[in-house]
Amino acid sequence: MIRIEPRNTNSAIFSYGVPILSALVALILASIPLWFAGAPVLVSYVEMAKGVFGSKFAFSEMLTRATPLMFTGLAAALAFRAKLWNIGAEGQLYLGAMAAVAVGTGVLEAPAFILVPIIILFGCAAGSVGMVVPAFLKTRYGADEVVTTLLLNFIILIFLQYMLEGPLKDPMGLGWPQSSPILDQGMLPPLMERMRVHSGLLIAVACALIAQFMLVRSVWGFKLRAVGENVFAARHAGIKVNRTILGAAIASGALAGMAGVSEVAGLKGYLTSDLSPGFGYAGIIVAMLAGLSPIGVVISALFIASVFVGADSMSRAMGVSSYLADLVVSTSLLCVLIGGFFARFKLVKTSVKGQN
Amino acid sequence: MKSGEAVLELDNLTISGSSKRESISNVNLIVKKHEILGIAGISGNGQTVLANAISGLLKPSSGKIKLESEILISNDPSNIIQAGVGRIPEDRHKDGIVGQMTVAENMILEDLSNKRIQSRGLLNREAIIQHCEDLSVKYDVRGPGANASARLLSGGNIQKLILARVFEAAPKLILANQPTRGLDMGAAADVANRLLEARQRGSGVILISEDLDEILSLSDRIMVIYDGELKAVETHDRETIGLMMAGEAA
Repeated sequence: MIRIEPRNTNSAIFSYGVPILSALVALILASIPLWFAGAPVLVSYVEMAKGVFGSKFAFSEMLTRATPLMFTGLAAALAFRAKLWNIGAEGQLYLGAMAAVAVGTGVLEAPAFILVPIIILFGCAAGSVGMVVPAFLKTRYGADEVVTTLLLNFIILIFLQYMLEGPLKDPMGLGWPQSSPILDQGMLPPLMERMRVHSGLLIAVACALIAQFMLVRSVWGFKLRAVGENVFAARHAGIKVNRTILGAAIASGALAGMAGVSEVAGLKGYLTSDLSPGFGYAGIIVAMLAGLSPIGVVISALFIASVFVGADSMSRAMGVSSYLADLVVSTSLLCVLIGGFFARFKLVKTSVKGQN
Repeated sequence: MKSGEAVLELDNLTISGSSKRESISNVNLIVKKHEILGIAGISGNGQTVLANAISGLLKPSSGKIKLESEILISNDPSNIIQAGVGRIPEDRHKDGIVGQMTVAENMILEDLSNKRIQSRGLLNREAIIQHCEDLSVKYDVRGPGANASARLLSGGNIQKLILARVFEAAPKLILANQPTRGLDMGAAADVANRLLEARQRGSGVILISEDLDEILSLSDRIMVIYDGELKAVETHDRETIGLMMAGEAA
């Protein structure tokens, strides 16, 4: 018989070595379908690396892709640390984006140093509301937040389509279902000349640092971790469980809303219903890869964005199906997740005799 | 030793749970200073809900819980802790510690508003480690150190950690629910000594246990809980108490 036990030691070899090894295994596994598709494997991987590190533009594109993943990854990580399963980052992202568009397209005429913070504030608040509702239903009535947050995504998406056909529709948009553009002074400033990477990236990294600090060093984070790790002991010790869960929900929703603000006010400039190709869901994977550590989220968002952008550009360069890119991405994720499992747990062989 | 005024008073406490195991009816009891009140009974006769009500985890259906003649607002453990009740939970792994957090963090679990370990919402890491090391020596908590996960401690050391947390707060009342169950002899003796010390210092102690030897050797007064009802016993006679625990009228 085999038993699964948590590892007692968290050695550096395991916490850094295993993810790197897993990524290598993923690349080896992904070379099989590449080979079947008739692409020379080594050249393909060189193309993939070039797609990320080959030029300043390629690298900046990777950073642009990583930015929303950092926000949604942080949203998932914070909520999951409190065992609050927020699967609704996708919807909260759109709520944030809608709020940003609602205040940023001309309702308020203000200079950048006022308008940008207002847009961020409204976007975060809208995301928070999107998460506080399911969290309240959970704490008050015991409604399963996996179900409520997931289903809210679809409701919000339909609401978004209504808004883009109605109140938020751009009158100058030639009938397309899209919002008016955000005012120039409402946009997050770009980081590099003629590149798409914008200062949302800096905000994301700052959020990660703050989240890490709060989790480890603040009483708020202490309570959040205690509730997440053992809600019974936390309640017994007098920690206010519902209040803690609502706090985690507010922070998580705000971060997801910020992903929407960053995409719409940092990158696109206006809102359409295909703003996010599933950033909210990908954030869950980013957070799991990072072991729910905020600093880890930054690294895993960079990794996932690299695989996405690199595999994409590889499939274009090699003329193989773009589904191969998806395959490379999913193999990497599976390998890193399985690797993470073995980094945290060990298999112990137990003799049959030992079972009484 | 002479016992003093009442610390805890339960006045017609009734809890109607979903099953008989989770119900008690019209429980009346008084615990005085310098006194250990033993509640003997076979598990499943209402001890858990009784303990939960005193711990603030459960709202009684009717009746009052008074601590030093002030009515406790129950259903909130933090009020209960503030009022000066120390609790040694029945299931120490589930209710006593957060296994994934460190030994030092578990030491301060009930004391997060203390200015010594935090200021303006930020934890003082050095003070927390120091606090843990001091208490580990004082209460003989042995393990891989203050920064190790609490789940790595043995059962006896987990219980000592909980004792350290409870007794350092100098509680007026101590609720010890099955405090030596599953412990080795050394740790069990340690728990008993701590309870006797607390009694010496003036705390009132409620000792809920299935272990008749433990009840007989530590308690000043004994009550028996059977089928959700609590009855006083005038003697320390093993046979009488044993029969009452089995539900035979004595």
